[in-house]
Amino acid sequence: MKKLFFCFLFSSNLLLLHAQDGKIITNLPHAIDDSDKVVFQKRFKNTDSILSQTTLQKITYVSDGLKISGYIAQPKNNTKKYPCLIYCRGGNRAFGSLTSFEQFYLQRMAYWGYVVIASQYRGGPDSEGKDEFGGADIHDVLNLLPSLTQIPNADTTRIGIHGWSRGGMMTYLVMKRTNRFKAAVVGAGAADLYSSIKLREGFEAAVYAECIPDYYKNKDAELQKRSAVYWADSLCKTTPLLLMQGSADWRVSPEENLELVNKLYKAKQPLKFIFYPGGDHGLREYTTETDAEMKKWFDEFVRDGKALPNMEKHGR
Amino acid sequence: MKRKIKFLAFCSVLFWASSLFAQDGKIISSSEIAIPDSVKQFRIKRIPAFVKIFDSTKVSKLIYLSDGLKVEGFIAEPKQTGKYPCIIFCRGGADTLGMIDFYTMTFLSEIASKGYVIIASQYRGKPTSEGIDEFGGKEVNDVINCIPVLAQWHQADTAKIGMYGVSRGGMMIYRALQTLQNIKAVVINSGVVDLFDTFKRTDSTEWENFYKDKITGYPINKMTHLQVRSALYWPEKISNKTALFIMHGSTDSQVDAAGVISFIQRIYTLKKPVKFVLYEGGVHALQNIKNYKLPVWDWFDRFLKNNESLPNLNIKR
Repeated sequence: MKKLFFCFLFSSNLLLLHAQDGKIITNLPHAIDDSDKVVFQKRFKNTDSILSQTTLQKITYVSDGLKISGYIAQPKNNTKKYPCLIYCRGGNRAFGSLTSFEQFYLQRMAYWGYVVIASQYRGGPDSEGKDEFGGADIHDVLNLLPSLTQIPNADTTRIGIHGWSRGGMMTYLVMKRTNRFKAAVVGAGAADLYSSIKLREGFEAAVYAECIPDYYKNKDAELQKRSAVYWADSLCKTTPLLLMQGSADWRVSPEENLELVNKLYKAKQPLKFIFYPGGDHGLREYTTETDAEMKKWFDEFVRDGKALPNMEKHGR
Repeated sequence: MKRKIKFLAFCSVLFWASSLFAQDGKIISSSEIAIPDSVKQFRIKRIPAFVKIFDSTKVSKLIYLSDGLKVEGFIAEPKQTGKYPCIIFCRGGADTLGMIDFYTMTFLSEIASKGYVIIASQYRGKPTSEGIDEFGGKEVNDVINCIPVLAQWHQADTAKIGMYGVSRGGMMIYRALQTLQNIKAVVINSGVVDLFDTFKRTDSTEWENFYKDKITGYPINKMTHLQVRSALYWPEKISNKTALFIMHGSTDSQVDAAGVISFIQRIYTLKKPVKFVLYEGGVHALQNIKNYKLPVWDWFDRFLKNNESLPNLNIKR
């Protein structure tokens, strides 16, 4: 009984602390630099209509009492509600952060008819705190859920999640903790953190050791906690996952993703997997294709609420 | 003297055998075949685009020689005169199951309408061809011998040959790719890569009996016979000059995707150009996956029709 009481006291305390989680405290219009615009115009034919039909805002929101920086992109037409996407960036700290290319990426998705929100994570540009590379920073993603409820045009009954690279790891970590997402899309997601130790010289010291608290003391536990290949069976089964990987990726090894597919298949995770020959880390050779796959996945499962596939063996 | 006669006899046998093989792929007969209206209407009703497909293509039935046996085959091609890249289609099933029938011919017509000459062997064995079907044995030659057949076909551009197989047809292609080095593009839908897999199934006894029935000498050399037919155990033997596109359903009850995923892992490690798509909740032959054919046309367009060079597989920094 006493135990129960303490438990209650403790959790109510937590509630107080976290009552502000996700609260958006600053929200300012943001525009992409003209110099970058030229680059996008060269690469994407519809750049002008994307920029004219969507808006971009830079926000600060609260997560575990820290002020975290992020971005919101949404359609300019605010007469209706839109399904939502949470985007998880790659990299760590300032590297791979939401610079203008990613900001435009958010707008490209907003152009499909979604309210898109993304976090710089703690320890990232303009955020407080320290990036733990898949540690407490997962809360910065989860706390975007209450942030979305503050956006008037966001329909928070329909939310999808998307990430590339480290953002893939974040997506898996989140899919382990919540069943809120109607669909997930991961590109070249980090699924086994050991492989970067083996394949990328200096990566362990420069990233894992610097970001992950007490890294060398708890190395195996910390790495496995972040590597979905060890717990592929505990991803939310009602979040269908589209996974895309290039065979010529040097940052995230194709091997680890093929291994993850192997495990997800055994775990009967609703999964579509596409392996692109000669695709690099960003699958830049296949942008048109990956965009179409991603849009279709979100449109079907998030926007239109398509039923989950039957994951038992069937058919003749 | 006796020796001399024996030698002569041996020579004549050799000559007889070699002349037989020299005839490999020789077309014995061919004639245009009409797909019945009822079958056409069945297709058109569901997919109106078939009106145009039937209007613009024709199908021929042929008998050709393979290892001296008369084997049935079919060719679908555009009506409009021209030279077209070729696709060898490998059917699934065995005996009458999965046989090339009028319905399959509508599918061949669909592929032909994209601008290809497509040939499909019925494989040796009953009920339409001479010889016996060994389910991945010598009848693989019936597939390989489609190439000399195409060489006699007026509209076929044999500098560009691709292959397309479903289920057992996948096994046939992998075996053929041990020999054929000049195939530009391959698409395999729900292909068999591991025959040992059938022993994990509830109907494993039926499979065992099926293998006994099909494969000569099966009970003596079981392991060898199965391995020879299972590309999972010899991925290194598959041509690496061919752009492979492998697709499979994650809930296929006939061919377990697990073996295919392992196969892809091995193919990747061997640096062979492969695209792989695992379809969520896809059944055997992907019959429940809408639009699964679109990436197929794209693949043949890229690597067969448009001669795109193989993707650069080197790790990109």
